[in-house]
Amino acid sequence: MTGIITMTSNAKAVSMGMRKLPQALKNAYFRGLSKIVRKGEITAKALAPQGRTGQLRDGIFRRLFKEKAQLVSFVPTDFPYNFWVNAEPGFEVLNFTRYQPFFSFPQSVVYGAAATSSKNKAINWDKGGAGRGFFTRAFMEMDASIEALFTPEIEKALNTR
Amino acid sequence: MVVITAAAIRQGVFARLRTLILANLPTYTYNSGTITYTMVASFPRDNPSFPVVVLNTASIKMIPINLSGDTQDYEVEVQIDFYAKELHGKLAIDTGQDELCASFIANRSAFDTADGLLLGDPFWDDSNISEFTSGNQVLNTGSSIVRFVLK
Repeated sequence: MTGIITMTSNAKAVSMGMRKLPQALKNAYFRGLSKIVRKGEITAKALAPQGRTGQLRDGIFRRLFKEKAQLVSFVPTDFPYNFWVNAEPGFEVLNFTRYQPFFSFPQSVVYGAAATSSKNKAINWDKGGAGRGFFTRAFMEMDASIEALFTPEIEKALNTR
Repeated sequence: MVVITAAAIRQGVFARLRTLILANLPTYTYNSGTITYTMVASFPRDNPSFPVVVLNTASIKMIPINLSGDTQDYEVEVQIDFYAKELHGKLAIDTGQDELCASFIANRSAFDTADGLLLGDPFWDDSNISEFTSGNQVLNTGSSIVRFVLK
């Protein structure tokens, strides 16, 4: 009797799986982006000062595209909140030379330091918040979460059959 | 119409899209009235009125396509932001995106022959619609990214 060794290949199954892989990876990347920008939005809203009106918190939102995501802090006022949001260099001293509703003028105010409003009330710079640079801090938390949030999605995609 | 060149690609793309959007401003119906978008280059800070469509400047990616780098592909990406009152519903954003997308698609051959722009891949990419507060107004916003390749 002639011995027969039969070998079968799973190449077809592998190639079918490989065909699905690019789309599965795209979907995984999108889910990862979605999770991370959502986390950033929650973190930024939690860290942002509530203030009197809550506008700084309410102005935070996310934009999610297929291949990229944006976290936006929208500040609808002439007051230079961007210095507070990102703690950009130069935020320390604000020079008010003409009328605005926040401080009397002319006056120089050190951001974050003791100051009084035009109605002579003490300024609470960070009411209900977590300090200057909250947006940068939210970004750092997002950055630190990338591996934890993306890896399971990518692994799930690589296991696509 | 002038073919857009690599040397002035940002200005050329902005001018072309601005002209196209101004000629095809999206409209929608609310409370039996027709509301038309206005177009601006950045979010209006003082006394804003809605709905608005914000045409941002083009972002360019230059890719050398030969080893010496003396030939390049220019990929163009432009983000268009839509803002409408939350009161008017997400339909306002959807309509804005639908109508502008249709206008862009309808002009695809003009982009090619008159401007030297080929449609990119993906050509049109919508974001989610978010809600946020600006001053005393609650707004809906959505964005679309449109892509081209310079011939």
